[in-house]
Amino acid sequence: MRTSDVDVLVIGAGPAGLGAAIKAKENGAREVLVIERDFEPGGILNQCIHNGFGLQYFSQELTGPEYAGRFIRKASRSDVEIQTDTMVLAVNPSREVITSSRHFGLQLFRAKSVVLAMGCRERTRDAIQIYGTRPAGILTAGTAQRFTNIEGFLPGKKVVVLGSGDIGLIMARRMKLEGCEVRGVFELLPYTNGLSRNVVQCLNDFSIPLYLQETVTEVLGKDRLEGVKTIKVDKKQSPLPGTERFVPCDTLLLSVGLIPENELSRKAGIKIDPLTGGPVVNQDRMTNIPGIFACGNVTQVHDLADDVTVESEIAGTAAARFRKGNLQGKELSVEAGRGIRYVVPQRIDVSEIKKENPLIFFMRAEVPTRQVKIIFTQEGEEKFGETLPFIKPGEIIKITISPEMLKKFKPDKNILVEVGKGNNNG
Amino acid sequence: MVEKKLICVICPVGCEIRASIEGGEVKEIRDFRCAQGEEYAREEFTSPSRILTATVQVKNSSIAQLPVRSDKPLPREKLEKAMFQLAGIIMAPPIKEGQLIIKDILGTGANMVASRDLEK
Ligand SMILES: Cc1cc2nc3c(=O)[nH]c(=O)nc-3n(C[C@H](O)[C@H](O)[C@H](O)COP(=O)(O)OP(=O)(O)OC[C@H]3O[C@@H](n4cnc5c(N)ncnc54)[C@H](O)[C@@H]3O)c2cc1C
Repeated sequence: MRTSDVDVLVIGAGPAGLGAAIKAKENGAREVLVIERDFEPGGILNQCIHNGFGLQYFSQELTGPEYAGRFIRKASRSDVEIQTDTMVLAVNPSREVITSSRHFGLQLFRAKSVVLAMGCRERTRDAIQIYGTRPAGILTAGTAQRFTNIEGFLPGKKVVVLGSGDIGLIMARRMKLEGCEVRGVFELLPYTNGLSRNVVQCLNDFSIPLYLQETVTEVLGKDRLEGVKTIKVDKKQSPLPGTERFVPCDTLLLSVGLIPENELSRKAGIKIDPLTGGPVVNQDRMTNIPGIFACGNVTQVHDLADDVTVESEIAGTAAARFRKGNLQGKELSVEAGRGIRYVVPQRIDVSEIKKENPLIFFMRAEVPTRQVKIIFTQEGEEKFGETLPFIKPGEIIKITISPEMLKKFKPDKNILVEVGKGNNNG
Repeated sequence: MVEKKLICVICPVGCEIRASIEGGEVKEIRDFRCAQGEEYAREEFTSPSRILTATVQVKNSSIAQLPVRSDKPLPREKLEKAMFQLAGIIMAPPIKEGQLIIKDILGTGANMVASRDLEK
């Protein structure tokens, strides 16, 4: 087995991994190695051929492959080594990484720091338990996207999409443009989880119906899918008898959520936040294991690649600077309170409060709300607040706290982030 | 005079902007909250246009489909027609990002270009 030492080892060559690797190099790491299981770098962006990337980071509207291309080219200019067709099998707490590949067989890497950037995967039909037979034609929207946009297979002709997240909306348009009949997008909730821009440009533009508070209860068909049964639901998501319909279709695309890919992290003993599905991290994106960092969709499911890049640069910089133990001071925890589903980072190093860097907090709202004040409290006392015109669960909220404001926080009390009282929903 | 409404997509607020339209011209526009929103809505009410992204076939390559995009927005009603033009195209590597695939598609003034490098 080939054994080698590297400064920074990054797992996954999506935008998170590439961004972290480039930043690690810029901050003085010598050997930076990215391990990727696919045959080329780029991650999920290679199949996201639509535009809508880079507006924040590059102030320019790019497609997924163009966004990835910028990082792939920059990585090669910065002397970042990328090993493709290689799968990471295990990571241990002493930062040893075992990989398997067709070209190199088993390899062991000893890294000074490790960055987890494995992205996420899609929830499946099993995960949401749809009753019925086992015909062909039921697949996740992302799988359909890969077939259509990279591998050159159209998965069917008459399509129903379940779930109105961005991937579902994007794929509804994609199938329509490829000549499919798209029967509709069904969503259990009373609102979509996708960006409004995608509702307008993917559904409204093509007169694809969106059925809110309506879901698929059963799939029918023996060899190939022949149709789905749907039913309307009330506010509590209970089915409304008498509203059943049969919708004929040969393809059902599931866009019912993403799960951060953390099997490797769990086995390494990394603590996972049940709210994000990703590792609990501090402001440097360091996990509970010193020297192991995480960024991108493995930490939290991001809506925008631009945010992934911001997070990857934080992790990459810290990974390069990590010297055993020196980043770990006393930490306090940051928790999600009323109206907030989760907050990242979940921990802050106390010494950070005294530094000159602003801290960016990512969070998600529990329900759509207008005119809200998001407040940061310690022992019930408000330390910082920001008023936003509108929040919704489908769009990540980012709040930056300046060094001056950070000084108002006590160094020994946990922080609670919540929606201020007296906000009206809807 | 026709009344039209749309959801603004400039920011997450998602204002429902309304307008009175006559002979393809906006006579009155209301319920917007910012200048950007107004500009977006005016254009969207009169001549909506979109970037088209799609794929064309590639032969002798590591992938089967090459992603392509329009370098400018196309009138919305021409998107589906443009797809038929792309359907006949077959490319082969090496390809550079930005490489021309179809010039001036459907006389719109927009070019279809490759959206990635492809060495093999
Ligand atoms: C359909 C879709 C549409 C989107 N639309 C937009 C949009 O319009 N605008 C926007 O800004 N953002 C959009 N996003 C979001 C954005 O693309 C993602 O947030 C971003 O690409 C995530 O980056 P990542 O590097 O964390 O993960 P990924 O891109 O998923 O990369 C993870 C990489 O890790 C590799 N990997 C995993 N496990 C291992 C292992 N054990 N060994 C080796 N390699 C491994 C994977 O193969 C993969 O290449 C969209 C996402 C999707 C899925």
